[in-house]
Amino acid sequence: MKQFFAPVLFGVILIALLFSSQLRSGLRCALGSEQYEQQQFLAMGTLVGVAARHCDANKLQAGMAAAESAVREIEADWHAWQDSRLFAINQALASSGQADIPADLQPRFERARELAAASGGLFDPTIGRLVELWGFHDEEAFRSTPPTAVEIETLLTGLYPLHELQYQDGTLQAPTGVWLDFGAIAKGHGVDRALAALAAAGIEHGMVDGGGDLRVIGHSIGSDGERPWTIGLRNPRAGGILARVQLQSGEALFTSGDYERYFEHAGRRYHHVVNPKTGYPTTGVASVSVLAKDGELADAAATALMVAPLADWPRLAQALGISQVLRVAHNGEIAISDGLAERVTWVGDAARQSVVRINLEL
Amino acid sequence: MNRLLTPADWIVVVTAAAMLGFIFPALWGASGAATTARIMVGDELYAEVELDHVHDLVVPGAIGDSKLMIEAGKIRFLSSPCRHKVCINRGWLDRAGAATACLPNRISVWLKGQPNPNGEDYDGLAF
Repeated sequence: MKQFFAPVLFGVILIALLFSSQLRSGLRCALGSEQYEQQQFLAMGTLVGVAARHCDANKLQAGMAAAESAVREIEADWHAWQDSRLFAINQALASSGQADIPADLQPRFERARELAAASGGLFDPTIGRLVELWGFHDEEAFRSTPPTAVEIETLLTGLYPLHELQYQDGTLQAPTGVWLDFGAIAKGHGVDRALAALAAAGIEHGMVDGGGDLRVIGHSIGSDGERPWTIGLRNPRAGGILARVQLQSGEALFTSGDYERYFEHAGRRYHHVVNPKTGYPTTGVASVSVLAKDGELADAAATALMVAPLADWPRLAQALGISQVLRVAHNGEIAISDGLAERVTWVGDAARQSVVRINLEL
Repeated sequence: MNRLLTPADWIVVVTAAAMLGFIFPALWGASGAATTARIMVGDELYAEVELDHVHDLVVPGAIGDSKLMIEAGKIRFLSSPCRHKVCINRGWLDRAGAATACLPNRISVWLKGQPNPNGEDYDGLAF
């Protein structure tokens, strides 16, 4: 009987180890098969997705939770139209013409000022009242008809670009007609923060998707092992995708377009990207996608390039520090910068149509 | 003469073989295409629906009912009380990781599973 004892004990221990989640997790890692998690939640006015993989299930869950918390925090800080810290700033500006920017918000506020200046005011967070006039501040408040020219002109005369407003020692001064709306950069910040939260939790491979605006760390994985994250660029008019592009770790891909939040009146489309110079939604461009080193930059740049005429792109791209851009005109014509053209694989009709190349050397 | 394997050794060998059969799929199995749609209302899970047969599903949301259509391996919004019908215009969701939402009605749908398990497609959609 004694001779049975040691092997049976060994067998019991082996079974216990094989059933232990930690050992299985370790084996999965050792054999190249990790756990993959994804979650979706409504925040920042869109459906946010987080996907990540790791061999430690607990670490993975903690990272996913931290990413969601980061997004919720950004929403609580920067929502222009609901109770938030930015809302409090706006209320102070409206009542007294000045507001103190909380110290922890100042770096993001100052980055927005820098990008507003670099874009020559084409990206401009001071246009909140215009956005509100058009009804694009609220999912259900879109107008059916455009505002009158007088209404628009009245608001335009009271606006000053963010970088031209006096800002010193954390205090901003602005005319009472200014209502700050960081909607063209806050999502980029939220995606950046969520990705940073994943990384801080020890997650090396993940993707944050803010309703079609994405940033990645590490690599995706396929049947042949690790490879760069592959992103499909949706065709803004025909549906489906028009190209694929592989993102390197840390890169962001953001798109501004006229096809998600809009109304049509008298045969014309009025969408949510409002030109700060004219007070009207941009025309002629269906979408602009920007691939950049971070979400904030990609987000703000996509808006500025949506507003800017194509001829101004080289100067604007230089000022913003971007070089990888794709534009789809309202008639389906595609223009792409040389830097991005080398990286995309065209799909379907886009593979057969002629594409305008743009030189955006930095 | 001692036998090469004692009865206890055989127990260990057989158990180990059985365990190999158990852990192999866990370690090497493909992550799989979408077979399940996760439907959320706000932050609450409303239902997980198997995409295995044709049927409709009515989901009560913040401002009314949204109707979802399900077929083998895919799902889409059929109707929704929102003004702009972004969720309906999104069309069919048929690949793991695909998602859409009716934001005014606070209803979101996404397909479970790891996107791109075979490296043939894409991991995310930019728009």
